Amino acid sequence: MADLDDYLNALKQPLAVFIKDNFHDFKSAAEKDLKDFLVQAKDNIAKWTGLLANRTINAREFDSLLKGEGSLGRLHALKQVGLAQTRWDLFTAGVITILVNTAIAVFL
Amino acid sequence: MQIDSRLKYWVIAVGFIALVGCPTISPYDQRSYELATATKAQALAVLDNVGSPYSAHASEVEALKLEVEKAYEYAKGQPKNEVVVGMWAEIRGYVYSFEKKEWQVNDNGNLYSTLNLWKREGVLNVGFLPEKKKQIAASFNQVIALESAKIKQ
Repeated sequence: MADLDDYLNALKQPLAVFIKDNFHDFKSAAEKDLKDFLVQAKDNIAKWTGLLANRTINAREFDSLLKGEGSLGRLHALKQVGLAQTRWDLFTAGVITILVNTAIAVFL
Repeated sequence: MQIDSRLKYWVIAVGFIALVGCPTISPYDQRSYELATATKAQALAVLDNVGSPYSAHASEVEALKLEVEKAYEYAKGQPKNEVVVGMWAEIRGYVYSFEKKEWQVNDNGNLYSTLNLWKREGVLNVGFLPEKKKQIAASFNQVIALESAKIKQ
């Protein structure tokens, strides 16, 4: 008859694989998204300053582009919040599945 | 006796995981995805006209806003979808005030703000168009990317 120690030992491997396969890249992906946005924003602002200087765009349009970049930054941040929530939901659902499946395999 | 005690902890642990296992964000919704992609295409098509008088395109702007409002209202109807609702609020020209803890109308440079600028100015510079289109497209892409990444049930 299997006991809880067997169950705990049986959980180690599937949990480790699950976490490695699904979550090791999340932090770096979020950081890359933010970094790419900031690099792009910096390039854009330099470009728009040039467009303003040569009067391709006017001051109000320049202002709109700057404000729009701020709005886009907030949208990036909101997306990352949503992606983090999705990852958390995947994590809890995956852990519950592993707990149940392992219990069935060990005890039944 | 020891096993009984450990079993109790396991029941508590599984109960806790089941509790926190409640979803924190709505699952993927095909209709939400379609609304976001269709509205993006319509927004970019309308923005193509900013080099000509606003008055000649006022009805197209109103039609676009109606589609954005539909997408926003649809997102609001989804449970646990506050993040996506917030994203649509940005596109609709709202910014969240942490001080007042509410979304407030703001000239934030996103879609509605740009349409208002076009209305005020009458005509916008042709050089402004490609830059603003990239920005608006990227804004919609954030909504689309999040919806795509949600859990598919």
